Amino acid sequence: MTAIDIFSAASNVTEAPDLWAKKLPQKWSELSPRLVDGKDGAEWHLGGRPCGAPGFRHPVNGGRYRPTSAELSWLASAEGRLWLQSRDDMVGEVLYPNREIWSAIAATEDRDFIVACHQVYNDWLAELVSGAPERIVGIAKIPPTGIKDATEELKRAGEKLKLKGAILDVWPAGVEAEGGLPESDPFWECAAALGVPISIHRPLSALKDEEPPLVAAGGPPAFSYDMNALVYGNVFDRFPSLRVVVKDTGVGWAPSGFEALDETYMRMQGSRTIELGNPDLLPSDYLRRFFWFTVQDDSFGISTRKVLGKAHVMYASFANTFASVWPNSRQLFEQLTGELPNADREDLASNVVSKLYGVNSATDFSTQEINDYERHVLL
Amino acid sequence: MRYKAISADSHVNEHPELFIRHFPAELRDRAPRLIDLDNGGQGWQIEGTSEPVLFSGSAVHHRASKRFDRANYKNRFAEYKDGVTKGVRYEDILPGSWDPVARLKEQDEDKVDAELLYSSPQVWGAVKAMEDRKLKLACFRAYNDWMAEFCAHNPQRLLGVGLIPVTGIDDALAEFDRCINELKLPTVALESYPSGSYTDPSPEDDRFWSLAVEMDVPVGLHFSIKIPADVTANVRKGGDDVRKAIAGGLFQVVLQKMILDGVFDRHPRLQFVGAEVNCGWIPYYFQKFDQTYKANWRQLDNRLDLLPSEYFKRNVYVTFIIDQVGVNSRYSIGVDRLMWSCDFPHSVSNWPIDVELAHDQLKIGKVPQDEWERIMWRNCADLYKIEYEDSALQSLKAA
Repeated sequence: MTAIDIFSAASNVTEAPDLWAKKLPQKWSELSPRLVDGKDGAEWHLGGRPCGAPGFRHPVNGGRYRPTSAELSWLASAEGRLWLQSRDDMVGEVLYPNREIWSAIAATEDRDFIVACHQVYNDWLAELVSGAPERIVGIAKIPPTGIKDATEELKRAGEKLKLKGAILDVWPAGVEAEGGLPESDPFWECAAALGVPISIHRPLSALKDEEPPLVAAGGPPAFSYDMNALVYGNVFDRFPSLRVVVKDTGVGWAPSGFEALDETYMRMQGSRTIELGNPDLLPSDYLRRFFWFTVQDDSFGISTRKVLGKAHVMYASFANTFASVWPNSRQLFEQLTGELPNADREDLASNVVSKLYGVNSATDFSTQEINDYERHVLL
Repeated sequence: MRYKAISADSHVNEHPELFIRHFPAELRDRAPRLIDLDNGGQGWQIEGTSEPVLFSGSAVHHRASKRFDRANYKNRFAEYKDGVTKGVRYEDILPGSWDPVARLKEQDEDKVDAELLYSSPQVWGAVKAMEDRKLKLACFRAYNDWMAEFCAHNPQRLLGVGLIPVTGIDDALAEFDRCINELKLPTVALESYPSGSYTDPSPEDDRFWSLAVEMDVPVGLHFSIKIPADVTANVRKGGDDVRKAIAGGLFQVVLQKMILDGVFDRHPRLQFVGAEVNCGWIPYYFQKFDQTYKANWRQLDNRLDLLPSEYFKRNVYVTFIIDQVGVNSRYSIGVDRLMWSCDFPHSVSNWPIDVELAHDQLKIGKVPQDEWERIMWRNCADLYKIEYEDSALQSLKAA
């Protein structure tokens, strides 16, 4: 088996312990998130209340390992991050924010504080990326405080900070905005113009981020309805260069989900009030052409990847999360892809993510690549 | 009888006088009944439900020449949009919905040899919302009585699915026994967990599962146990309320809970059927279920004897209508777990070309003859102990 480079399409950052305490204005010194060492490891506190403990699955005993703040301080540096990558045999990572802290920040309902936290984080992330730009792609965090804040921060992150991706927690126009409607258009327009893929990872109309149960069957992500809302709201018809990344969900649900979606669309021909901009396409065609998917331990998804299109599926190590198998991400990749042709393995491992984010000057996808997939036969 | 196509999930529309005829006299005045509507149509008036329950979508009187014809015809009635356009009356819908003689003709036209007959989800969503327990129980008993009568016309082709009351475990047990041993129905379907809960399994349920195993009868769940009472009105309003309501009671959710509760460990011979659930979702469902169980079983209260997917392969069957992804993935699912269905006379059905479309999807999936038979009728016949002349044996004898 030929050894190939793996660039993880989704991993989670380790936030520097003093990220917010150091950079937020003094007026928020009591409120700002800070890391506090406890007997079981470090834990984030906001306003004196715990709001998430960094940790990952211990590679030996499978339990939850919670580092100290000293360990986290090093892991948050470029040097520490590159060590994490090298130990896992990754040549690079796309780095996403962790979820728990951001739920606590949003729960303050203090718009100025929330926006400031996002700006400070994105500044810190850009600095981290600058330490190893060929090995770290930073995903900016977009504030949930309305269309103006969301669009301004996206613009700043893309233009000034040169961050190559962004992630939403709620609709750009706010949690109560209806998905797909034009009120979020300024954001989509900005993303399309910047060429910044937008990631989604949770329902966009939910204020609270729900932790999935530890043991659960697989299925479409809870936010698949939001994905459909983008399609039915004709967002991609208005902004055909917009790209959306679906994080943390695997892809094995998609073949069946896509067929069901198309079937529902066709059953409602007589009464539906929405029409896709391209009458030759079905809803699943939009999901294939405008969405990219990360995949980790999903052998069924990998075996059916042609349904999404080989140019739309990217391997992710999910490092620094409990789902990670660090430092064995390569072994998992080899196990999942060992029977595949090398070209397919390279696509999964690095080609697709490199093209999506322009890593190491990779050229963009051709139209043919984007539109190359096997749609199920819709009888 | 020889079979080529058995629909493992079809439906009736409750006879206009089903409840009035089969209700005890003291409750007859409060029985669900058909009423005329202002728009010229008819609907079921059911105590506790604010709007009459409509049925047009469940018996679209339209012949398909291609897929989606009937679904799109239904939507032209506009009953789901504004209720203003002329409503649908019983005389407008396919009579085989409630008349067994007509039903056999409709089966013939569809080239279907037999059907498992389920109820109308929207009617039972409303019945379950009744507050009076005695009234609710009477509805279930009346339905089962009528179903037995309906199927008696031709028991080889009309296979009734009894409904289990939602009024508590004792009622569930009694009616289950009555359906099988007195009414001679081949199977039953749940409208709740056996205890009557809509949310979670409970220790009481074990008495029901034990009875199912003792009687060697499969138990079904059609789509979701949480169809809202005012589903027609809610669909008309639009929004996500109906979807969210239904989601909590989906077969997939119930199955997960039953597995994690250890139901299939305590009752290893229980046979559980998901009707109108399709099957393409199954490989990923169980891949993730197995993975998360293996990673996190130590955090659970209950340790399972098997992996989740192993319960599926041993205890569970599903019906599908048109599911090309599922057919193509049949080896990941288990060919012996799959049962074709047409959902006739609902609008999803493509009557009278249901079998033709079934064959098309099997051809696309390159399904060989033995698997074809199993999927189209043999798995269903074996599960429900439907007697048949074995075509394979016939061939050998002929040779």
